[in-house]
Amino acid sequence: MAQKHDTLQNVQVITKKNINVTTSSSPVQLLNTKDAFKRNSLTVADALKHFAGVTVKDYGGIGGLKTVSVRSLGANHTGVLYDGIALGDAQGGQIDVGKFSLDNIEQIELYNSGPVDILSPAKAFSYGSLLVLKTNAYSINTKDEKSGNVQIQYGSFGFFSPAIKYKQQLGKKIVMGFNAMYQQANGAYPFTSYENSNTTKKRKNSAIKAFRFEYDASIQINDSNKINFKTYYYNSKRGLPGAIILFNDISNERLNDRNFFIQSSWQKKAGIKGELLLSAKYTADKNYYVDPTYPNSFGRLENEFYSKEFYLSASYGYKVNKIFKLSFSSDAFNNRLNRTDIFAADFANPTRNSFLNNAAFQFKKQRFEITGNVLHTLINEKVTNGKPGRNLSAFSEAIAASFQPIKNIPLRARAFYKHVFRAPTFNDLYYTNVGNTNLKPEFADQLNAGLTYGKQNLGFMRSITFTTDAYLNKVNDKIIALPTQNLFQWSVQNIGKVNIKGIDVSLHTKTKEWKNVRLSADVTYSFQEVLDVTDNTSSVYKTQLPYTPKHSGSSSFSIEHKRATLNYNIIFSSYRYKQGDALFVNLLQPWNTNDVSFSYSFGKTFSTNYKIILEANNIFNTQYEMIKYYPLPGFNYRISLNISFIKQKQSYEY
Amino acid sequence: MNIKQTSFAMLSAVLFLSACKKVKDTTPVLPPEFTLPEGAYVLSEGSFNANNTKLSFYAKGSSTTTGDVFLQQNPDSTAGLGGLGNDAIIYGSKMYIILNQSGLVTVLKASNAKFIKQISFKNGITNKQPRYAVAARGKVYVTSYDNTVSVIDTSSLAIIKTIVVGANPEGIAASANFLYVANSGGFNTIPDSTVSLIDLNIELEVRKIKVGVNPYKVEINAAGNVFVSAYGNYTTIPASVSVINGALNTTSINLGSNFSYSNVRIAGETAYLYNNYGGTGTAKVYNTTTNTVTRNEFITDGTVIQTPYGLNIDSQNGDVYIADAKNFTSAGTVTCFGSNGVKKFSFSVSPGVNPNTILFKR
Repeated sequence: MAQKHDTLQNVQVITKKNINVTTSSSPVQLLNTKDAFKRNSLTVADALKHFAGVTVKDYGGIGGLKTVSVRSLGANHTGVLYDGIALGDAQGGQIDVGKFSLDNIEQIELYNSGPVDILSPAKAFSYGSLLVLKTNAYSINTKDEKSGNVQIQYGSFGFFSPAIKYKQQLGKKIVMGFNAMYQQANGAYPFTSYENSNTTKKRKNSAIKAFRFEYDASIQINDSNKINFKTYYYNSKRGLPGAIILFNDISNERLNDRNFFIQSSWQKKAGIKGELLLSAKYTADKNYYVDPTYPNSFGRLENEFYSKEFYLSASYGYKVNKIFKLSFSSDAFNNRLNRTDIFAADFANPTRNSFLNNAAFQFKKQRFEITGNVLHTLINEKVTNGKPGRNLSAFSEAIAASFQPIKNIPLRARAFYKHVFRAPTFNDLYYTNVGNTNLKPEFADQLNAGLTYGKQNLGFMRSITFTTDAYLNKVNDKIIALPTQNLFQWSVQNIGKVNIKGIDVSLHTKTKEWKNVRLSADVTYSFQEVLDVTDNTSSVYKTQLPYTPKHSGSSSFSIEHKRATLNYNIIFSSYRYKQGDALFVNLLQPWNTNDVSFSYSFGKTFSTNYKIILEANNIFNTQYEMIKYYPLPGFNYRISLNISFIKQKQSYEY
Repeated sequence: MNIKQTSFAMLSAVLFLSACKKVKDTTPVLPPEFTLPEGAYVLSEGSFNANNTKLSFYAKGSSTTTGDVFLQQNPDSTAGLGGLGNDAIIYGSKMYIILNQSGLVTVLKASNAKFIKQISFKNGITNKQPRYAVAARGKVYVTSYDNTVSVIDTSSLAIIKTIVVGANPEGIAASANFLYVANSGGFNTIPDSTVSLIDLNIELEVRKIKVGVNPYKVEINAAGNVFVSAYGNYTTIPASVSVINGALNTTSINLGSNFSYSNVRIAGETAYLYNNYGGTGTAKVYNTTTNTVTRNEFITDGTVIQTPYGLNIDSQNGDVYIADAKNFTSAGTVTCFGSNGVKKFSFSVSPGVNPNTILFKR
């Protein structure tokens, strides 16, 4: 029964393109929401901890910042596409992936090189690695008229989160829907006191309240002519607990965020061989930071930033023949950042115009594929105060190939090379007293070679997927903030140089159903040697970059029996140093966390269905930290109740 | 393989991954000593949010340093001293360590670095942020960024009075009758440029004296004149050094553009000016009696100090100890020079980062 249902769902969803992780010429990892729940994940950040080659920096708690660095290129080299269009990152360049809860996300995809589909906006080719988040808003189900979902989550540390999703079909061609989520937590989780390891303290100033609303509409005239529209609103108010300071529990800083965007894209056949993808987006973000005990004459410090982005993109794809495809994409961005608080003084209030042009090709046969692209980026900058950042004109390029040597053995070899850069962010250039308008872009080179093996229906195994990749990356002109002369005067400079060697391994297995039981196991392992080669006279020359574990990985094990699922998850990391010097005082201990979850669903699959999920996270109450003095939660639990309903049309169409 | 075997293989993979052993500290920890020999304590302030203030000890004539003498002498205090140790002074039998981020003045026995007491510098939900200290008339005076100077009684080790001064005070110096406090105003958009004059008899500010923009350190020479080094505004206004006539205490004179230094240390009539803003060199030597430059560069043998971050003069022989903060993230060093600027020896204060204060233990 369960298997039948799965198969049906795959048939019903007409817009979903399946991505094959073993035939892709550059590494791809993906996780759908169903599997993300099996991995005890609340947010995208939690789910990404199960991806190979990914270092999530988690500052703790539901409201704590969570950034993603892929293969040690640094968080600024990870771009995020949300329903097909890039999230703006001109201000800080690092996207907090802890902000995206999984209630409305259908699939998480991570591309180590560029997008698999060459008919993508030029921006999608501009990142070191690409994180793609897809909601299920646009998928038209040929049978469903109305569908919805209500979820209530309750958990440790005052966590409470209701969420609702609703989707309605208007005729055969239009679907519209909305989803909303509210989340609150006091975040006061206990941790072992740093002053006295026999006592426990509670994290302070760690509460969060967040609200998200999305409205989506899609007109799908046919499979090759569709228009998607999306409105996104997010608002959060949170305490910034900061690092634990010995003998000082005071923490007062707060951050309010507001993100808003509307985006639309239109994908259409243009002639027999052509295809067109047009996108537009407007983003208006606000963030407000306050330190109410700052020792200036006002007794407080405020930072209020408004950032806006206008974005237009046009892509044209041309199928020369069945195996050869070309595409050309052109993107234009206008980004503005204004500081409006009374402490803004002579903030630069920069405006940046960016133009990205990308040409790509794809040659794809059953056993051989080669994909490549060249991207040109042009950036012009203006400011209202001071000196603007450098104008920039630069090329980046990538090439990827995969090959299946023996016809009937699903073993493939693949390789890619990618040269990209990230432009200095507004913070890098204009941050008060720290910013440096002379900055150049930071370059990243990636070279990757790997093997994949994917087989369906092998004996009692339903599927086996194995991928392993070895890579050599180099980061040049790395943008880092350094103190100059004294610790009051920091400056952002292009001086870092990093050499990276790594190996990613992942194995995903599922068994066939046997007496109503199905098993699955997933293992990932990453090795990373990340050496600071900035200055050969420094004591940290050729030492492992801070906060980068040499070994890390995850494993998940799941048993399904009829409508019940039991999951066990482990994430581990070897030791790291918080500074380059390999001294015990700089050491962060290795850690592993063990999570268990159980879910049971009841009710009718095709009308109203109930699902209860019980999650016990960090069951051995491991006290650990990813960033020194940012303790992470020990044992915690979540209980979720999920009610979904589907109202189907009278006449079935299969 | 059957299902049982597969499950077993999967499970062992799971268990294999969960095996993570803790890494043990292999640094030898010496047993505490009853008294420490003659030598020098070095305070390293550590880094922001890192809680890594370290007190190191160099025994005179030895080839090794005790990197963390506080831990050695107080083996139960594994957490350490706290965050951002900006200053330390020895007064009588005690050492006072000013911990800015932890909001503490921690008192140790000067003879052996044994812990005596922590004095809290918190005020409700605010950390006063203590910065620098000076001792006078049996009391210790500590500046804090909350525009105050706190008075510590050296027997009860409690704050007995708070004196209001200008904005965000930094360095402090004491003459026979007065305290001089540098009001930096460094947290304001426009920095302060005054020194508060405190009358020690009444423990109140009696006057503000105009000095360079964003004053930082205050030192008094043998003749009683007060030298104030200032940061400037880091962009358009350079660092500067001003001199207040200690007999009049009214105005100051600026030494001019050749004295763009933000740090000063004086022994007798000799001033060592360091942290040359935007310039090169380690320190300038200045005779405060003749008002002439003795040497534009103190170091005469080519020894390189990457980031001079603290300087002190051994009054017994005139040797000059310079602390080097290197790149602000790796372990610091201290180099001892003869007064002729020739290197005598140097030692590392590892695991100390950003060494800023050298105190001589007799």
